[in-house]
Amino acid sequence: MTDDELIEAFESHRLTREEFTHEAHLRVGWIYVARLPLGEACDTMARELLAWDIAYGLGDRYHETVTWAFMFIIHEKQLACGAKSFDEFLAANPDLMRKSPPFLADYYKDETLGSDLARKHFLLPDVGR
Amino acid sequence: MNDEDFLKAFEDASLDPKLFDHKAHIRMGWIYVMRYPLAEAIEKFGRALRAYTRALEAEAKYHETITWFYMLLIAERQAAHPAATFAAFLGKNRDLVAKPSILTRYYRAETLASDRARYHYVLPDGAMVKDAA
Repeated sequence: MTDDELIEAFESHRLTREEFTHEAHLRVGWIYVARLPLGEACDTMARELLAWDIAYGLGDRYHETVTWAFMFIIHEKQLACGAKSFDEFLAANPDLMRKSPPFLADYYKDETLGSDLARKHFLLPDVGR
Repeated sequence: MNDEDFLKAFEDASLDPKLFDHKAHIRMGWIYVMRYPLAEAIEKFGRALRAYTRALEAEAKYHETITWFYMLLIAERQAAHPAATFAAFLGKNRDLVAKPSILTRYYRAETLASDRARYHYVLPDGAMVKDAA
């Protein structure tokens, strides 16, 4: 699938739950980061994820802090590696695929991400508090 | 000055720079956070701040990471403890105007000093708080 085809499938909700893997989430985020100013990229990802979640479920899986944090991390890692394609980006950043411990555990305490506040509003990483 | 006049003076760059101290920056950010969805608030505030620094011929002072950081922090605090006025907000969040700057708790000094952080938003990279609350 090309980047355009993936975005089209995602935004039109033809991308199935099975197809929308963690890697596909990262790739959609990477495409938005590559194409849009950062704030707009975060907003677009958030809006489209919520719409997709409503199409495929109850719309209750969307998590604002997780979504924005991954967008910021993708943006930062893209700045550092300057990848020309998602494959190149992923090859330079294999840690983004790490499941255990969860990648965001480097940034957030479990209880922070588990809170209702974090689900509804972006919270900064748990550093220096 | 009420919020409306303060915002207008900032956006048309008539605001006296002597009045635009750190606390006034926080107040302006809070006004944008109250009026717009977060991404839009950051974008609009960042654009207005760059225009203001340009009008004062101080554009080199603009710092993308510091701008984004404070907007995200203000939004987080406002979401956690909603305040109806800036005075109420500040009363609950004195650490945003305390010294040393809260930035030093969130960021390593060399990160903030880098061009990368000046021109692009990067996440806080201070020591991670891993111990249970």
